[in-house]
Amino acid sequence: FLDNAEFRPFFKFCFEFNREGTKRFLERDTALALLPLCIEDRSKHTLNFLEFLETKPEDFKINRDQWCSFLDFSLAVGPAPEFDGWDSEESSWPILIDEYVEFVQEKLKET
Amino acid sequence: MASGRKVVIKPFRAHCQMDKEQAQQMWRVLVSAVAEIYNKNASVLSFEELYRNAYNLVLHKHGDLLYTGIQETVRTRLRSVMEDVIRSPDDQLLSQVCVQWKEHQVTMVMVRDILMYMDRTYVPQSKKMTVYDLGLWAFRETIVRHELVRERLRKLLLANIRSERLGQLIDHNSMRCALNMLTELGGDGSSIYEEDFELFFLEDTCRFYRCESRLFLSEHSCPDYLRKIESRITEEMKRVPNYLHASTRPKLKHIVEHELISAHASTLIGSKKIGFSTLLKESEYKMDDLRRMYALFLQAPATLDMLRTALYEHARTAGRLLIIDQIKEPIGFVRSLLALRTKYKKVVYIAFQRETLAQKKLKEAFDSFLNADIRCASSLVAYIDELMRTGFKGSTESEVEHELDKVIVIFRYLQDKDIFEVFYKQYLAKRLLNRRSTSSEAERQMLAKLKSECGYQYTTKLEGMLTDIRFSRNTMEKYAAHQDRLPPTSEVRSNASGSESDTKESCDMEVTVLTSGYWPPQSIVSCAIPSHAAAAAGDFQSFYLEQHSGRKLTWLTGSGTAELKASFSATAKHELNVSTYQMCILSQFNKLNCRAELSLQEIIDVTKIPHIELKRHLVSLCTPKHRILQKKSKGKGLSNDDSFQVNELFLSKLKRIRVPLVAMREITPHPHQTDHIPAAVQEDRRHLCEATVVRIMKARKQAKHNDLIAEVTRQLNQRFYPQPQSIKKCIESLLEREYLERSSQDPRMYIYLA
Repeated sequence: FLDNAEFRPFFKFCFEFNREGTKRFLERDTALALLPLCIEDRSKHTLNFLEFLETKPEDFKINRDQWCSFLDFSLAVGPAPEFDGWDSEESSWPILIDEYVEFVQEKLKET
Repeated sequence: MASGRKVVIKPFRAHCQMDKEQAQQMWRVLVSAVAEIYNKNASVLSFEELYRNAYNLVLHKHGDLLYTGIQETVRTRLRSVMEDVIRSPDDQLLSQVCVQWKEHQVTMVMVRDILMYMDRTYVPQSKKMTVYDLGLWAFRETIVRHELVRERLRKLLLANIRSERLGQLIDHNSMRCALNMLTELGGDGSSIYEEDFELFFLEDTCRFYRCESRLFLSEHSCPDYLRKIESRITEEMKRVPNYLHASTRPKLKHIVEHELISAHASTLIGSKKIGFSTLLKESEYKMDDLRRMYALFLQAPATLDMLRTALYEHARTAGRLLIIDQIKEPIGFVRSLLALRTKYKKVVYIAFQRETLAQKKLKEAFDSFLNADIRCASSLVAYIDELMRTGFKGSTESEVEHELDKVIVIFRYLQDKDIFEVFYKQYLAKRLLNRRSTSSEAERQMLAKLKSECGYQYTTKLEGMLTDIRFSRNTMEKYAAHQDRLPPTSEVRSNASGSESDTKESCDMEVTVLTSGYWPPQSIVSCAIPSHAAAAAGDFQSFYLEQHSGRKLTWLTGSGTAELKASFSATAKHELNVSTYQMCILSQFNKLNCRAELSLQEIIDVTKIPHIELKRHLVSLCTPKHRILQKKSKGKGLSNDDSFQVNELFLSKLKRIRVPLVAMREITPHPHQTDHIPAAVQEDRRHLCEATVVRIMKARKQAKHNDLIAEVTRQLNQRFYPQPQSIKKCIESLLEREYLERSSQDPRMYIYLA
């Protein structure tokens, strides 16, 4: 069972392996299927993130930076609703991650 | 040993002891002397003898006797004085105390002089109080602190002060004397002045002014109140040299400021009933009041911040309202804006005494409301356009300079200077191409000012435009000289009913050559121009390309004008000033006989003018005022199967007629109506942002996210303010294109990929 440091390259490899040819992204549906498989239970954000991805249009594409950042983000920031370690003012995470956090916060507000 | 009548002088024996009897004897002499002093009979005494007596007593070790004796004497005497004092009625108490105090001082000085030897030797040795201090202490305990004196005295003092505050005159001398007395009676750790007087005085003052200020403010306006407290403060400060001790001054000042100013600062500023805001509104007339307010608040510095904030709020609100009110009329808006700025600038200069912090607040206020609405930038451009076209007619160079300086002041506030540039370019292009600019010198001056604000890069394109115009003129001169050398060609006039000539047709042409990178993008859809125009164009083009090989010329038929000589009948001959497109349209009728009609479709086919433009230019030729062509359909619009013919009955009083273009319902909104950033500007910003990120990363090799954002902002700030989110988008785009990558150790760090 790989520890987190060794897992990172594997996670990146999952992305590389599944992209098509010279394209630098994964289709939305591919990502939706692939993510839970690779990440298993290393991330507490998986379900929420998948829900968030579903709100994106069908032709939405996720790039390598966003993919790998998801893993780093899961390791650095705690689960909803607290999102421990999340700094909204100076976030250097990809905008996709910012949107994801916002999405979950909005969702929680409504319930 | 004495014998007979001889006077024998006994030798002085220094070591001889003085016995008690002798001591008592000497003491009795002294006591009676002191009594004489008390009775104001000091003149009968011999100072030398008394001094000697005291000296001897101390020398022969009878200091104790002397000291206790004098102590008792003083006390006894003061006790009797006390009896008198406590019996005095209130209205005389103060003066009685003063009188007694003065006498005490005088007598004690004399006593001390007599007993000075004791003061210098016995007193330090036995660690007792000096004679004078002893007297003070006794006076204090016996009289001043007597329960029947102490409070009465204090109440009298305070009552006096209160009367004076209420406008009555009091005796300053006795006040001063009493308060001096209290001061002097202090020492040895306790301050009588503070304990018995000052404490109560300050409390009283506090209460008095708290009450007065509240009452006054509720019944009077702010300016009146300010005047009142100004006089009160002066009055209180005078009280100190008049009779109060100097040490009271800072405490008094503090209380007065607090009760009169600080406690009511927010009311004074915020009150609708002629508070600060109202004063600001009428700042022209109320400058004195504003100045007074500032000067008073200056004494309580904590309140100054509130004043400044109020100024900021007021300016900002006024600015916002101005925008809502007038932004639809840009030129009026800018004029009002300039007036607004002058008004507040005056307030800061005169009332706020040019204070830097106030200036800063004013700048912040203008920054905030001007940058909240993009239309401010375009309004400023429209205002400058107006100046250049008509406003500067007849102005001297210094007047022009003055106006442009005012414009630059507003320009400085704008954050999005790139938006300003885009609009300025558009307006400048129109001015230059239509020859509307009053003075090219003024245009140059404006650009020079912009250059000194933003650097030369900002104005290169604009200056390029001006240069193009100048070069074109030169080129035309050269071309004219070149033409002169050629054999003459025959000219053919546009003739509605004439026939073609078979000689080589040409016409006079004036060409303006624009460097495409400098000017706003123009649509380059060319149409088919009539042959004589084409010939002239061809001539010029070959001349020009000979001079500048390697360049490419494209004719912009969408702009430009033509002058046509039209004969509608034998008598009606006019000169028409029309657009290029209109020239193309009209020359189609040349080839036909007079009554012939052309359909819309035919016109389209031959001239190849884009549909929308064609409609516009065609309709302009059919308006009631300038009915050069007659169209089949009635009403304003064109129908698709319309047809046209020359209007033979065309009449006009003028020989030379300029045919205006009808205004089309704008497809794209006028710059003033839009408050979104133009797409071109957004695109431009994105490129600049990315280029800046790459440049920074290339230099630094790696950088943290926050540092990168800060540096990018700093570098771009002169041109526009980049939102952190947009910078982030640029970074992500660069990440995707693998210009950068994230560091594997720290996802917040970016690394430059060569």
